[in-house]
Amino acid sequence: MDKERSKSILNKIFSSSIFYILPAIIMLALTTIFPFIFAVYLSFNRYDLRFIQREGVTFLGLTNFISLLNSSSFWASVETTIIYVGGALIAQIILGIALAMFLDSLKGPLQKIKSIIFIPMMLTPVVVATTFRLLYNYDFGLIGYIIESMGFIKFPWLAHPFYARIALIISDVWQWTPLITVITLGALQVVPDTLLESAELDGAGWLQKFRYVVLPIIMPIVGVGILLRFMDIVKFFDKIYVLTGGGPGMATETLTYHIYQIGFNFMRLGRAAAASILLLIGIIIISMLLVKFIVQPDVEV
Amino acid sequence: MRKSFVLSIALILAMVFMVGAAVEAVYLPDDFSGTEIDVYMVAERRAEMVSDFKHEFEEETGITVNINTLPYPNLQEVQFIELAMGEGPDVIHVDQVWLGQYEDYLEPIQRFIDDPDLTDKDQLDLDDFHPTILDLQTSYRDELLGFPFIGAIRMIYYRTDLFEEYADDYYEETGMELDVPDTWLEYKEIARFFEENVEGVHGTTIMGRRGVQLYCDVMPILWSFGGSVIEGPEGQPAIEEMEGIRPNINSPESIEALEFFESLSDYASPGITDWDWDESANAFAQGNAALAMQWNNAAPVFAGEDSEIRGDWEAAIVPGMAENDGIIREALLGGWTLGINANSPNQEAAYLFTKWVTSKDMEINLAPGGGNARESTFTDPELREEYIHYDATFESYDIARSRPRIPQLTEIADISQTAFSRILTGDQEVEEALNDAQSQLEELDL
Repeated sequence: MDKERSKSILNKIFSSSIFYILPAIIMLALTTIFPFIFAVYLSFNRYDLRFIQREGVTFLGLTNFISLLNSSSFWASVETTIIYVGGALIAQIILGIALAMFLDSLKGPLQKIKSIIFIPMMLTPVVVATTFRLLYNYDFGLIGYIIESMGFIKFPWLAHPFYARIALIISDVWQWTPLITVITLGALQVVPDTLLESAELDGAGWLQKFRYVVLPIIMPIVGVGILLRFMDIVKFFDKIYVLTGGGPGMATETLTYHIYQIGFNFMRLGRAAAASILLLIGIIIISMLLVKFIVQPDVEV
Repeated sequence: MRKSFVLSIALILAMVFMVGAAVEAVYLPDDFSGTEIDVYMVAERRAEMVSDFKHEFEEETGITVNINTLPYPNLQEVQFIELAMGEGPDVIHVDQVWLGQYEDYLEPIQRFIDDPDLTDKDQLDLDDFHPTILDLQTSYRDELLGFPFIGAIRMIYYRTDLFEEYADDYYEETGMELDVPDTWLEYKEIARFFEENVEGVHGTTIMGRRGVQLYCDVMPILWSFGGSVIEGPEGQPAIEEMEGIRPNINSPESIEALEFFESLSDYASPGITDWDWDESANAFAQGNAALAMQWNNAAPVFAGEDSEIRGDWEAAIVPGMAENDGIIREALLGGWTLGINANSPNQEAAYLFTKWVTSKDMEINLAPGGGNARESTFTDPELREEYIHYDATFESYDIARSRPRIPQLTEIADISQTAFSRILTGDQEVEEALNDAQSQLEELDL
């Protein structure tokens, strides 16, 4: 009887879904949930490593948040983040989809190009950034040399607030456009040929076919890629660290770089935690909008 | 008979114990075999060279030394966070500007120096270190917190070949001798001359990338113009924590200094607003400029095998600004303290290591790594012949000035650097940028 009973308990355990996701939950709790709760705790306190030995931790309430929202450098970094995310994301979507359409149309041995396109994604961001830093260099960089040899005047890419932003966007677009391309290529396989043929019979041109047939079908899948890129670009840090150090002025100091500065250069962990919670709220809101309008739009046919 | 036997046994035993105790008192601190100490150091050549010699120390003392060299930004993050959590290695490496921030975590070393079991004062010869180095690089609030390891100070470098070649032309054009500049105005005039007259050569190098190097480029000029970023209640330099520290970055003197700095940048490569230490040192080594504002640790690049200007350069102390009775020169000081973690259980072993690695013999051994601190090394005839920048470096310590060594410096410097970067790139006018910086500095909790 007892044996029967224990067997049934074991069965119950093994058949419950909780048992199988438990390891994942534990991992998640240790690496994500606990740090998040700790970050929330930090954000309400003065947790300043520089003075922690002498002054300890003091509860501040919302002071960290209020002083951030009143700080001009915080808003400057928000503005930079928006410009950066907008520029890089839109460029990557357009280029990525265009590149996928082009690759999809290739026939025969030319298809091998597809695998070459993905190489940038395999590289470490810091390696990419260091290479770009040399390319952009005013005095001996390759890009300046090419521009000059074509008869134009070369200019200091990373030294000018406007060009520095462009330079950063280019380096990120170069590396991550292939991700959108891969996902789009996959999505394009789903588009049924019959639909395209019937559209053609109805007299639809290339653009109309793309707009009314292809795009609605691939968008939910590509949307996931866009969402991933969005979250990644917002968290963008390594290339800024190597390429510009946030300069010139505040031109390339994004919110993540700003948080890094506050937290690990100035050692004000409480304030940095508060800023990252504001960032998190921003990401959640925009992600929800992206999901609503791109990943699962109300399909109108 | 029996009684005296017992007594004598007792006496002998007592003597043995006493001698034993005495022996213990004398020899215990010297017996470190089996002790293991962890050392953090900044990843610079001098620190990396220590690994080649540490076996000598290990054989002599029985202490095992584990050295970790970390790049500058990582060192601060890793080391300071570990210390703040009550951990960290036995020996820590502290940039002199961090001393205020590290004060509580560093064990004052005077008691080890006064302990004859640990220190032979003649051998240590503390006075051999330049007093400025002991004061600004290794002491805080009059307490010695370690030995100097890797010295850094700002100087200028100039091209002897160009100075010789264009001496007559320069005299013809300006009516002045082309000589080592004593004032910043002369420096700028020479930079202008080379920028305008010599193809392929810019006037000067500038480290214009937003970062700590830009701050260090500006400060010697700003100070000698009479300006400051923050200052004490009576306008005195705020080199330590004190009551009443206030920002004063938008004073007329500072505005004048930054206007001068901006005009100087006209005589440098347009790319300088992205230059850090590497770009600047390499540009000068490739013959890009006639003058360079740099640290003493750039000299090996100019003397190195890849240098295009080997044998064609010299170092000099920084220029200043003429005042009634002389020239005010301000050589910005950097450099590192090798100190002992106040929480370390192996403080004496750690002390012995820091004493050994900064000893006279090791200074000579580590000379190729740069950043010496002892007079005996700077005046060593053989070394002076090989390292031609020694005289200027040693002389620079007489006019050295430290940045404020307060815990908030990183934040203060970041606000200032951002303003300087905006000025250099033409993003903001001098006065506007400095006013913005001033209001941001006022928001800080100083």
